[in-house]
Amino acid sequence: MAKKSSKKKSLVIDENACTPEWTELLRKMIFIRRYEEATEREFRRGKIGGYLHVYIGQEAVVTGIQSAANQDDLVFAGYRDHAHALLLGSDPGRVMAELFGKGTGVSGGKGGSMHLFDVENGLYGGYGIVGGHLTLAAGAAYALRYQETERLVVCYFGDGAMNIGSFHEAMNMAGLWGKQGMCPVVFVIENNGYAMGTSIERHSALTDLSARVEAYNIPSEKVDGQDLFAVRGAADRILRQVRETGRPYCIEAITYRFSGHGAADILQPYRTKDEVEAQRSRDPITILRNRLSEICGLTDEDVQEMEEWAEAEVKKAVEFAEESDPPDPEELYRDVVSEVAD
Amino acid sequence: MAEIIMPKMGDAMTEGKVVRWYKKQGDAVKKGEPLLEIETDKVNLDLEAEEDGPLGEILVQEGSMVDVGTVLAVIGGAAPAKDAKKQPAPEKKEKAEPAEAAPEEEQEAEPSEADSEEKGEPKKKAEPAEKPPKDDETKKPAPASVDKSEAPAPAGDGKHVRSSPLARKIAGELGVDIASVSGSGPAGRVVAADVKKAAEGGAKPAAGKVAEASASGPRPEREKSALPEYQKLKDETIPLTAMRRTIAKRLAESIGPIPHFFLTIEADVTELQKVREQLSDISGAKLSINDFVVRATALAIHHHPIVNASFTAEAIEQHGNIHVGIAVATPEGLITPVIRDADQKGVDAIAAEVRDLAGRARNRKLKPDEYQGSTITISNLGMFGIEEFTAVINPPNAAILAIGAALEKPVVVNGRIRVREMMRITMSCDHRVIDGAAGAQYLQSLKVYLEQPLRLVV
Amino acid sequence: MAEKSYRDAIHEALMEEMERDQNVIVMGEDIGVYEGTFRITAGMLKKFGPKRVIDTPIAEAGMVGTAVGMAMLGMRPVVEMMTMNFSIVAADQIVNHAAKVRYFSGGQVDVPVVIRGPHGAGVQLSAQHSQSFETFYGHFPGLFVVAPATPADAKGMLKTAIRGKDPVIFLESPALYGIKGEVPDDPDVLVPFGKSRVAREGSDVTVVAFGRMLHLSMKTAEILSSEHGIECEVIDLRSIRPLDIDPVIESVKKTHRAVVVQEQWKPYGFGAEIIASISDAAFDELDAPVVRVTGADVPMPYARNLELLAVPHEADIEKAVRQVLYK
Repeated sequence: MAKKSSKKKSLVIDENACTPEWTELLRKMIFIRRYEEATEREFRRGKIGGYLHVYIGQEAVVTGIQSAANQDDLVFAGYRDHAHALLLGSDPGRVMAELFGKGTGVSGGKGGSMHLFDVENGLYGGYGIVGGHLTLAAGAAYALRYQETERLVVCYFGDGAMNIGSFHEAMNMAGLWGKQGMCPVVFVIENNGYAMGTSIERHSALTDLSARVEAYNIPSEKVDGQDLFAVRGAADRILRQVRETGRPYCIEAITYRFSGHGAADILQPYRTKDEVEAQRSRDPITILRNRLSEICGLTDEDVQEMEEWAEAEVKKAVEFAEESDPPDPEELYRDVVSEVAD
Repeated sequence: MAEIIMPKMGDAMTEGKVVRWYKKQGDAVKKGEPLLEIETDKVNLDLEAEEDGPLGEILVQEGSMVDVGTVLAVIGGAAPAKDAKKQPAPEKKEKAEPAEAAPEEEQEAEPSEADSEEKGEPKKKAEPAEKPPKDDETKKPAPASVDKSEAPAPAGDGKHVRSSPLARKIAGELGVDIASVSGSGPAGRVVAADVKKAAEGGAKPAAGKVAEASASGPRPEREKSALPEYQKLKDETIPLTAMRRTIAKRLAESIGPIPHFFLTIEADVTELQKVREQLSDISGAKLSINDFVVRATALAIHHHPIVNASFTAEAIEQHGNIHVGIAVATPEGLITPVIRDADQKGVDAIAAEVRDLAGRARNRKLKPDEYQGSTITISNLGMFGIEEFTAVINPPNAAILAIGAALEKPVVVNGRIRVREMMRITMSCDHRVIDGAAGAQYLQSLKVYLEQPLRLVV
Repeated sequence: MAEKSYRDAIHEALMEEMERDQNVIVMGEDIGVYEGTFRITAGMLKKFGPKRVIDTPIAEAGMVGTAVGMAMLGMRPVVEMMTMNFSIVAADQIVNHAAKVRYFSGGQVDVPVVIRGPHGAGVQLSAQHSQSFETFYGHFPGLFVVAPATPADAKGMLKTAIRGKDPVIFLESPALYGIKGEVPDDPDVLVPFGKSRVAREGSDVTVVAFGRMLHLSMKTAEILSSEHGIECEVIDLRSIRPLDIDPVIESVKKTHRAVVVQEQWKPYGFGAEIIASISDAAFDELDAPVVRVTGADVPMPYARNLELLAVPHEADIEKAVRQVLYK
């Protein structure tokens, strides 16, 4: 049974070597940051309806992990999914169009912010039920092994998703199937310390989240989610291992979100402004930028160029969304099921 | 240049208010500095400047409520062009139009059905065919598992034939008047078999359109809304009988010059109000409910002429004309301008005349023949919210009607509570002329006119 | 053609489809080593191995959710609910995920998952193990819901379910597993969804049912015919969503009166849906209001005598028939 060869990113991470990839990753993180700020602005303008959950402050987590994944790996994410879509290669204009509810959106305007799908690029959602997609990710991983591929699934969720029933059912089944090498899934806990407005001390009996996953025979480790180098380093090693063994693994990325839970969470009564300010001193973009100026000699001009580029790209995306039309009314009845009975 | 817009702060927010500006036009502002306080549907908060620069013209003043997305002011650069000020409302596709359905008419159409039933009556003779046989309720209520979808129904209310859709369809096809078919189903329901049987037995063909046949039903024995015979009036002197003299004398001794007694009736004027509004629209002049009351008062007299009379020592003078006096309050006291031959005048003519006379009454510009000669009087305190009151008879009338306010009330209609507009009328009667029953019957007829307002406009 | 039991018909369908398409797998509690609590999956582990016959832990949300994930990647999992009562635990995965992922992804994924299992009242299994689910799942767009009453329909419809691209709730019944009927031998005979079947012709009254109640209705129809000369036309709906009301309407045009028979509670039940549909299309044909024969509006009690009172019987159907016939 020959294994299919797969495209890979760089194997070896040298934390002291400056490679073009690092600056590319910084550019991506800056782009995500500007993009998410733009979605917040557009929400305030009334262009985006419903819920909006932005990734501001957490950029290093998804950037680090996805930079270690292959092009044909899959991603399942919760509703805080814009960054995931952008990193997987979804067209920024079409993602913005989805948020604006236009027909050109990645999900045809029928999903919205919480349901970004781009199957061609490996994004399998975008889900609005906390912890509801973990089982799907585990099942997809099983299918990948069943189909004898070398692909794996990366499944992202927050600390808030760890107390719901389907989390436990998913973990147990993944751990069980993993024993036979039939579940190549990387579970990534985006632990930002809050389940919506409830801090981790107040929502979890045991706040050591990695330990809880290990109860299901899934190995795990904590990683500093604000340090891209650390995330990428761990991800490289872990993804390789999962791909080889077909056993699940869990990365608990300790991170922080600077914005509220969602666009309506303005007052944030559950944390102090001081705490947020203090956390801003660990802005992942700043951390990476400083690191790169050390090892790559990255200059302020370089960064400014990236910022300007990012803003221009974001502006294009917003324009595209603005100019697009809403979905055709016939879309209402399309894709409820694959064969329409009527 | 940065626009300061009213931000959407929550998914349901559609507008916000500018509470207070901290800065004014021309002030230099720095990024992050609070510029103004806004009020949203949930919180008050400060909006900060997004960049450094001079604050341009303030486009939305304190206290204004604006849509989300409206530009409030601009930092730096020139003030936005005139048409930019035209705050393009942001796409609010998600904002649903508040479903401003016209407030649903909660009232049943029943009274007007009855109305049209009555109108239709003259065409058909009141002929209850055989009354529907006693309901075959020997079907006991089935155990919980079988749905008896038909609750035992009250007997037909006289307006509606219970029949299955199929029975009606067959009746139409066969030309059978379903009202004449006796129903063998529960609660007298006419079913297909009944119609077919009736067709074989030579049932009466439907009168007029068959579709209407299905709406009418067997005539009830007594129509409360029927009127006694309509009479033309003439002057007539009715000599006092011995009995009359005695009653008169004794009552006069006990209660004063005119022995009063009082009768109250309540009329459902919901339909009348509707007609009044429609006619007001059509005629362009505002008609008041009292205008209709005047006409109703006059017409009802035709069924009960005794009410339009006067007592004299020798006889009861029954009048051949109906002149309705209307009590008008003036600074000096009460005066009653008279609408002569009110039964001959349409409601808008009455309305115009009332307005004219009442106006002149208040200015003390009435001529004697304009305030004398009434044969019956109306006093209306409804505009003061008075629900009910008793009035003193205006001699030489034999009666006066005290009209109360038309108020929305819960009333029982066909066993259910409905909101209707009700008006109470208290009739004071001169017992020397009008006995209790006569007065009561008059009020019954008056009620008919008020509750079936189309009678007033023909 | 051969006479087979309902249980064997389902078993055969699973075996044939697993042979035919490698993507088809089965999963559920105790379906492998234990060979299934109703023995539907007997022999399958031995034949197809543990990768295709998966014994799951007791975790309905887990098994349905993972099946959805597999289906999104092109597998065709058939999940057995030991009883459909347990599917409530997986309700979020079924109605918020399986039913909707296709729609909110803008059509980018198919979810060809089949969730099958017995529902309905059994033998003194009490309140938590006796419920029917046609109303519960029939309500959601994005799902197909079917309830075959005969072995031939069971086999043919399960194949349609497995070969389709969409999530299917496949409702069986413990009372039906033993019934026998003629089943075609050809493994490619599919019974389509969205098609009702006239199970018995008659001209006096239309009786609408599915599943176990269909058999009860047929039995009652026989009694009414032989003892009272009343001829019922009995319609087996078989497909709850989509619902094929046309044969019912055609029948009502003939008989002018109808009775709907359902095992479970009246309020908001499937009978209400049938009556509304009849009213939409055939109001003028009715000589009587449509009557529902339903179970008692109580959680299913344990005691045998109470349990019998809680479900419909022939006498209840007869009463309803007479009511609409005014006899």
